[in-house]
Amino acid sequence: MDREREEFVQRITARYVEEVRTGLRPNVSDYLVRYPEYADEIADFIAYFHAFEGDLPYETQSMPVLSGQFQGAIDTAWERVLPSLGQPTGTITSLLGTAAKRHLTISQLAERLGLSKDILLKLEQHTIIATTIPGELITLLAKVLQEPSSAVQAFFGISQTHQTQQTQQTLQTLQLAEAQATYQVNGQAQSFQESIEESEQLSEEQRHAWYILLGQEELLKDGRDYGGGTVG
Amino acid sequence: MLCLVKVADIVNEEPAPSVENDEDVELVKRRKGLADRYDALPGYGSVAYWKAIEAGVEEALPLELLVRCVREAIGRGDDIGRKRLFEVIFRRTHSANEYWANNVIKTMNLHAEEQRVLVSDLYADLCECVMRAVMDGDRLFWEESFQHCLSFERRHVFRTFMTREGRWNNEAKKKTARIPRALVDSLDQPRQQSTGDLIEIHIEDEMAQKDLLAVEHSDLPRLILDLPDKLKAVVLLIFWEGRTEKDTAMVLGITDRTVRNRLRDALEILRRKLEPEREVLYG
Repeated sequence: MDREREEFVQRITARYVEEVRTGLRPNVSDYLVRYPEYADEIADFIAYFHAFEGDLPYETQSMPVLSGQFQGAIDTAWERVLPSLGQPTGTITSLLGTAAKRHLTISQLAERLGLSKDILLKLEQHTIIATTIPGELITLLAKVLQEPSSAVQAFFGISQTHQTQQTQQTLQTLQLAEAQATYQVNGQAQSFQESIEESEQLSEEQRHAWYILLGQEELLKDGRDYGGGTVG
Repeated sequence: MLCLVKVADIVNEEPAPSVENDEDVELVKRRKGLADRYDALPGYGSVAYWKAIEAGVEEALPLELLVRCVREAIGRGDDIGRKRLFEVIFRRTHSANEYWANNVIKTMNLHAEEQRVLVSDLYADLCECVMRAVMDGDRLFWEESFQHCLSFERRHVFRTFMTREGRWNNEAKKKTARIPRALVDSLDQPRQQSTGDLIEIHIEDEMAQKDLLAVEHSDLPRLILDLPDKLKAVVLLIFWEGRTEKDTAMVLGITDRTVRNRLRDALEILRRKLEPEREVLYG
């Protein structure tokens, strides 16, 4: 049974169970006649419910201390579950998609990054020139998305050596060409700094913080001094 | 008196809400109630927050809220908080889970020590499934109806466990290539006489039917559970709810003949299952 179908059957049978729990004797046929395409699943659950669930103690709301036997069983369950949790996939095809896997909405992701949603969407759509994105943002994205920095860099089309000062100039030219050729959407590509300046959703505080960071990474393209470096 | 009449008129003018509408209203109310309580929780991770999460009997938060809290902990990358929340969930559902695990294992007639080991295995399987389901943010019904989702998870674990232990009556597994299935199935089809009329071969398994009727009503669901999915609804309607074959056909939207065929198949399976019990009872 696929996930969607199972959830639908859950919603149908939840009503049946509620009726039973309130002391009524609901007719199975009422449910089967209403949802004939789910008849097999409904009948299966109802049979199971009366066989094993009908007389279960409902939630006691007390907090018993678990015996060693059951605490051990829970520990076993954790041992099985933990290895498959939050394992980096090593590839990012969508920032928002990866964030969703980590149960983060676009707003939550933007908040974690200290960015606004409009800038985040530009990053997602590759309309920001990759080489103008501060390294700090790459690191932060990697941390929040629980993926290696190389995966974030690959998403933006930045090679891993991009951050090294020695080769930065050459790579900037190369990667700028790559980014424009590959990702520029309708000729709207702009620098990260321009997106910061343009954003109507970014708070002044956030804007200021990004200017400082851009200055520190020598990516600022005006003469203003934000305490981290002056360019221009 | 005048007022009462007026009120009655007004009530009559309004369309009577259907059962479905009532259910929808209830659902919306319930969702809103849960959302309000979640929003009213103290700041995540604060002392007051954990006090609310771990509150005792009277002030205990609905388990649905704890699911949302687990998902928030995951969103924040708070592994310790996630584990602490699960601890509360497992402690609060422990009585039911333990009772269920014992009940399932009891049906297997094992020695005490073997039973104990299998109860632990089953309990661990259940905890694992609950962890995965609660941590899966796409499974939204957990945030609305925790207990029912837990029941579904227990059913899933029960089935997987019984299959793994080789105790699930899986008819599909028993089919072998040596049996000419097509020929056997063709016997179910109506025969055409030389006159062109169709006749049906109808075999009744009276003995199995009698045995099934003699089974305690409360024991029926366990027997039905062992049947292939296709046959469950028919047996449930006829033996659990006391419907006629004709009624059953109408409810399921199938022909009377299909009902009879499914019933015959079901009785054949149940007869094999009930035979040992009959021998014990009647020698």
